[in-house]
Amino acid sequence: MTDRMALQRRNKGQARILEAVVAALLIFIVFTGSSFLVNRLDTTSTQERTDLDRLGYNVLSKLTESRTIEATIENNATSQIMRQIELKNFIRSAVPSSMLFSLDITEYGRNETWVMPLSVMTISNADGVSFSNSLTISSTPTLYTSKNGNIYYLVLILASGKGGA
Amino acid sequence: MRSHVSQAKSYRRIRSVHKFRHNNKGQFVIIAALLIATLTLATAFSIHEINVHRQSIAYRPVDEFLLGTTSDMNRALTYGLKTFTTYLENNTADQNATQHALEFMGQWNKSILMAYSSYGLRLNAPFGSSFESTWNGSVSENPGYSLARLTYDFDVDSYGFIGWAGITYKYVQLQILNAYRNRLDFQITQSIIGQTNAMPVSSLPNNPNSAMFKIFNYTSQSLITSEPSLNYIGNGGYYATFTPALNLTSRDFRLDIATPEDGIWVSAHWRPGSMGRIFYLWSDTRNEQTQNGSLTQILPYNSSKLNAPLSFGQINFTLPLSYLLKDNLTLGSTTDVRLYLTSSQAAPEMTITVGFNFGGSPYTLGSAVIRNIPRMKPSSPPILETCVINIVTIQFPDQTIPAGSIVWLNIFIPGYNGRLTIYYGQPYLSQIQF
Repeated sequence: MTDRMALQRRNKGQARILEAVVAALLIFIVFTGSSFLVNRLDTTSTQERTDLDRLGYNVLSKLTESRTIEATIENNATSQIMRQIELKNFIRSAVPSSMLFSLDITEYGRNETWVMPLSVMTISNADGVSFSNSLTISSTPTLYTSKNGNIYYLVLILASGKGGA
Repeated sequence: MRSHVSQAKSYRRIRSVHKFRHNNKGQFVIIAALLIATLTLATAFSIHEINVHRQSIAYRPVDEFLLGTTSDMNRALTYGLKTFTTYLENNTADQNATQHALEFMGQWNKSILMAYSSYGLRLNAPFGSSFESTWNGSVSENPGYSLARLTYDFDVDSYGFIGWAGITYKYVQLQILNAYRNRLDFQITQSIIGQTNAMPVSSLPNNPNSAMFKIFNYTSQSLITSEPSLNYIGNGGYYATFTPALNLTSRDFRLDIATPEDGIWVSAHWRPGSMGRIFYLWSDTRNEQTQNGSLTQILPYNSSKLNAPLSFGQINFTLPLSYLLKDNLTLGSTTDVRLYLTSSQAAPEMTITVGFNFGGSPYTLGSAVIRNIPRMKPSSPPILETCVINIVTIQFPDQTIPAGSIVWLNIFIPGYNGRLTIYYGQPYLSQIQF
């Protein structure tokens, strides 16, 4: 008699346990599937690209508004190497340390009938291979007219990844 | 006996299975779990679909692009104005100076089209640049100004931006306030909006050299050599003293100054006897100073404003513009009126009358009408309205306002039911100039 009652009590709990396990399994499977659907690789890349674009424009704005171009490129009192170092330090201080960057500066030379782009300087903290290995790259351009009337075209390339030299 | 026991056992087995199958107390747990699963999957799938079609709502740096382009437009226009005024300062003819400035703006035009060609940048109309200044004999020589204006209208196809149009300015103004024995008061301001909303230029060095500060004998155009020492008194106002000392009270001279940051030259002309001929609007608090027996102009250097009284239906009030004249004032053929004002109501006509009181009787010198005063928002900065009044023949000998007179200015607007505010004090120097 006592054994039969104990057996009945055990059977009652088995149904609850089974239901709970089924419900938990169901929710776990659904959340796992949702996580896979939401966190797509290309979505993440798109968001990173957007962030890099914003950062690129902010850095270029800081570069132009602070008149750094006149203080570096147009500063004839210093050597070409020193100008590159100063400009590189400026960019390095404006971006996260792990970020790859490359700033290309072209001057539009004056001519009566057309403009001639002349490469002035390229500053980078990594080589081309590092950029090509990066998942996300952005390129932001801007035009800059200096106080001395020189017109520059600046293109800043940013890439997420391990920092270079 | 045995079959009875086995029957009972099977009966109990069947009954427990039956009980188990009909034990549906946990059905709501399963239903709740199913509901949660369905909602979560539906949400995740929707997010997935949005992400797949994200291109249509992806972030594009349009604001940054426009801001960067507009900023460089202002920089280019500033350099264009510097080029224009530098050529004028070096005695180049106006037309040639303009040509040099336009050449630079044309170069910039080509540069921006080349730089952003991959963005589908297209001009709907050519960039319209113009440059003007008051240099060597223009209409309004004090204050003198240098102005550059650029109009634009273009599209950016890659961002779907159509018809981005506007006007940008660079404006620098120099006004000589007064000239004394070895002292010169002046105010220099600049703006990127136009002749109003001027900001003070406060960065002139204490001892500027001839690369940015020059005084010329106006008639001979020869440079007057003397080392200036500047003191800043606020709102773009300075007073200069000179070594060796210069007596500027009876000189006909031209003052040229270059702004320190942009190198834009601006020039103003001071005619002998101008002191006492420019009447600045001022407050009722009189603050007279005399120097060497001559009456010195009173200048309220703090910005403030005078609210005109309101009368339903029309506005008609008189502002005192001078203290009691201690010397006779010989009139010319015209007088220039400059008023900085705001108006809460549009006014098609505003009649300005200038006159003076002598011996208790009023005498009118002349009137002019300023048309189309716009309605302005309460927070708007004042606008500048100007007019030229032709002076009538007065009954006093030699067209002279006698000493002991008080000059006044009257404003009349028919059918006005708003709030008119006249500004005075730097940088809004409402004034009349004989």
